[in-house]
Amino acid sequence: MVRLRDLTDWDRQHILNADVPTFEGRPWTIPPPPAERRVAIVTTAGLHPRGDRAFTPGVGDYRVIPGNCAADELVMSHVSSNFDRTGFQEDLNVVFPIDRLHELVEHRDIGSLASFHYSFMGGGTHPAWMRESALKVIEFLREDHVNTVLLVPV
Amino acid sequence: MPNDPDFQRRVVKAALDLLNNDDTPVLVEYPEEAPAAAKGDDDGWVCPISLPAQVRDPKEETITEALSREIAELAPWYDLAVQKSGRTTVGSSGFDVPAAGEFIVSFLSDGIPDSPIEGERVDRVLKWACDDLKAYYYEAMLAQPGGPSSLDLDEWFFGQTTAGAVFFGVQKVLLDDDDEINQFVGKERLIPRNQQYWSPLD
Repeated sequence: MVRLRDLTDWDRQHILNADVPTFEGRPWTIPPPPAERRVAIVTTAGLHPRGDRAFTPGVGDYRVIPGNCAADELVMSHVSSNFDRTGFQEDLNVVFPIDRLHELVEHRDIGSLASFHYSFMGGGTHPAWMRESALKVIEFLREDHVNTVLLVPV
Repeated sequence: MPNDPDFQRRVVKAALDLLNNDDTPVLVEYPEEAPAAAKGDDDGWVCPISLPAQVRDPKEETITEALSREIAELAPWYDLAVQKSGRTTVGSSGFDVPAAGEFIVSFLSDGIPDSPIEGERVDRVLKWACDDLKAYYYEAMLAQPGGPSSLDLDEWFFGQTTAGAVFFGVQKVLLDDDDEINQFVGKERLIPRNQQYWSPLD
């Protein structure tokens, strides 16, 4: 668990000053039992398959990561020079825990994995700018019969 | 926590188990601390590879030659890293690593070039090339036993390598340019905030 006190002063203030939305009410839905869950990953690590378009700051679009994409085929075009890439360089699962989800499927802790996963990039892109893309991704997730999304904010 | 599948699995499982609640969204603190990493301790990390001195005598070797030599000296360690992990994160720019180095260092000798990729601004291509070069250096170092922390790697790369010196040189070229985007990229996109203190401009 990363704590605010462990961050640099600049990073701590950056987090505390973040423009975050407020919500009216507390929407909740009862998910299916674990064994019936079909799970997709949505990461904000700026990942995409090698050769796909690099992310552009401020755009808020997404990239598709096929479920069978090999780890060696994923690269990161996150724009920030302050973004720590070493975890990703050592182990893809730090930002995209696909191997762990496969294991949970094998152990029947979840039902199955999506055919496609999705990647966004933060790096100064306000979440509101991602709304249009997020709505499209929701449609794709539904078509893929996904009922559970693991959000990996990096 | 990289390369700790048991810890990762527990974290992911705990996140998914939050959905077993039948009332209201839940926000809870994960009680388990990340396993202590066998790196980044207070003793400091020392690069185990003897690289050539960062600052070269321009009469004997240009910075282009020094960077090329440095890249070549890291190649066995990078190859070992790829062999061990079965993957590399190098590959955003489309350049191979020596070509990425040549492209970056050309900013010092020739000024800001035309973009080598049609339809892309040169500053974006530069950023991808820089990311690839850094990834190559970092992956080579991460192959070392008892590996360094991310801060160790940043300190080493920006403070001790020819590549780091080239980054600062390119930063100055961009900051001195009339194009505001190039200035912004020079200020924000090449050097992490916590490494700016190495800059010869300060």
